[in-house]
Amino acid sequence: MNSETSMLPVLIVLIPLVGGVLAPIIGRGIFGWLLALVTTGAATFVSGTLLLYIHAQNTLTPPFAISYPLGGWPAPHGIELKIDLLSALLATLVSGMGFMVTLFSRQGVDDEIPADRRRFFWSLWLLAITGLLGILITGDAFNVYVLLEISSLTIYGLIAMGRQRNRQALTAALNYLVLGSVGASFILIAIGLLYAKTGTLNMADIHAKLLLAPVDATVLTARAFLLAGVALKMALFPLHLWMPAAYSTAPSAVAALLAATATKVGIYMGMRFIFSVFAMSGGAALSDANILIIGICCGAAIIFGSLSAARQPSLSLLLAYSSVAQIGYIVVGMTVGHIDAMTGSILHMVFHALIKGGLFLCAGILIYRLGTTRLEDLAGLGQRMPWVSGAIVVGGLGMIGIPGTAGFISKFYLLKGLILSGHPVLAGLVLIGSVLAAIYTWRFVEVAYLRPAGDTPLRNGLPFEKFLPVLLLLGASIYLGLQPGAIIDVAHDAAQQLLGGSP
Amino acid sequence: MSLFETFNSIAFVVIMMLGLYTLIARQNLVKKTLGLGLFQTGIFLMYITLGVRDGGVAPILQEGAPLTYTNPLPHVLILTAIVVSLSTMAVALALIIGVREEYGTIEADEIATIDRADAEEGA
Repeated sequence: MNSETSMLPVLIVLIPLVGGVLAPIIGRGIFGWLLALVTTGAATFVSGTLLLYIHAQNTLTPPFAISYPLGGWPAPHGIELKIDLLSALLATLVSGMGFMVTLFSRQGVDDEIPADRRRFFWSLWLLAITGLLGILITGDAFNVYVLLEISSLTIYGLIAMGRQRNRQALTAALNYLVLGSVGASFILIAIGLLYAKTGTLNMADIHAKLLLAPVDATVLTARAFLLAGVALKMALFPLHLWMPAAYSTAPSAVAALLAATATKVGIYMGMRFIFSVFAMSGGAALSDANILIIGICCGAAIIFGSLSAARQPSLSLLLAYSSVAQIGYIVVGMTVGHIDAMTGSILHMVFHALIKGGLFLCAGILIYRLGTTRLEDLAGLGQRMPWVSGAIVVGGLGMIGIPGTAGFISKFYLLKGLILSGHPVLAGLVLIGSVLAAIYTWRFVEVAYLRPAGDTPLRNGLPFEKFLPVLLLLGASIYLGLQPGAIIDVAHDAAQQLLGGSP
Repeated sequence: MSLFETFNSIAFVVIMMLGLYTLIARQNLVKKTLGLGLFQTGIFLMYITLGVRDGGVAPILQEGAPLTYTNPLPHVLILTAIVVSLSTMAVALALIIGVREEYGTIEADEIATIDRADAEEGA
């Protein structure tokens, strides 16, 4: 690594961190938004550069990962930042989504957050992104816990800022706080047990020491606590209870950011710990019993999430329950430990973030113009807001996985991997889930296009700066569906690195 | 495993479970938060016990001292976790103040009743 790029890893967290600290001081008026835009944009640039660099190096000499010793203290005694292809891909995704949603939310934040709170909103916003990015690039197990709590605490505050629009945001935030803290505490217990077993906190070092020691009760207990804690954080059925209320009552910008990034980072933690820390030499990372339990949870998530989505009274809740189902897809792919399923899982993380982020931004536009996302108030939306409802339909098609959309590519890889690894039942569930996705997407189509226009008054015009991110995100999902070569390449190499066992 | 370790290992599980029970069984939001605090305190005890060695002393290099030291790293780690727990508690209490302002109660079941009534009114 040459001297120009050697500082980049630490900049990924440093840029939004500095922005978050500056925001309460200089973030009055429009400056908070500008600051957030500049910092998330810079973080996207840095992580995108690293992604390209790591991908290029990995093609030459696989497996390639950047290691950055914080403060010059070498691992395993110092804290190490370790960026492999998966970290870089998701860091680009998280900071890019942060940038898009920031671009979207100037007027939305003006609309939903009182004037004297906005600079604190932007501060929490940037600190949440700092925490999420930090989890993705750190190579230290305890660091994961601390950064997880940084992102979680700020996200609780961000959700609670939705109280101006809906007072249920407070109870939703409190619920999430209680469940999220229990989940994070489970992860803390798991890290403690791993430290007791191996005497180190560096993930690569823990893995190396676990390979030498026989698997005993301490390791199995640590893995059980870790899986439970991570499942809570990624909202895997039946631990998803905090999610729908939080997504539907949070300010619209926050809902979009959470749906696109926060649960994905939870899934990343799961992948990282299962495959880079617990993976046993030569064998599968999870036992058959583990796969059975997680498989049942994923199957239930897909069926229950899709069915619930079809019964929700508002678009926000529909999207939230559909996220429950989509998380089932992503986790089922990583569970079986097959290269194609893992590729599909990583692809689905990226595509779902783009699509669901775009859809929540559409819901944000509806809140901005109609003041509600209740489906009965959306009657005749196809005539009243043709662009926005068109975008929602495009996003819905992507969630079903129609050929030509990105959702098709990821589901294709998921199915291929699940069948090749001998799990036809799980593959069947993925297919059933697609049919159910068609049902809840149809509900919106029916309301928006087949009913006479409602009389809920429209406020404001359609602001271009709000629609631009929607166009970019959904356009990216279509583009990647038609030209998937490059992204499949990256996801496949990332899956290879992950299954190779070294972080 | 020394007596101290055995006792602590049992104690931290008991404390954690008491906290978890309070968290689940109590309707009062402040009591729920206290349960969460108790739950996390149990984990602190686990970490502190991890660092202890029989006959160990504080890890300060001095002349003529015994060679067994307690491991300071878990203690440092748990210091961070204590700060996190404190911040979580502060955020939770701030949210509960907001809930009290909006709903006029801090009993979870009463809040659920109010929310249900709101939903029916809106429908």
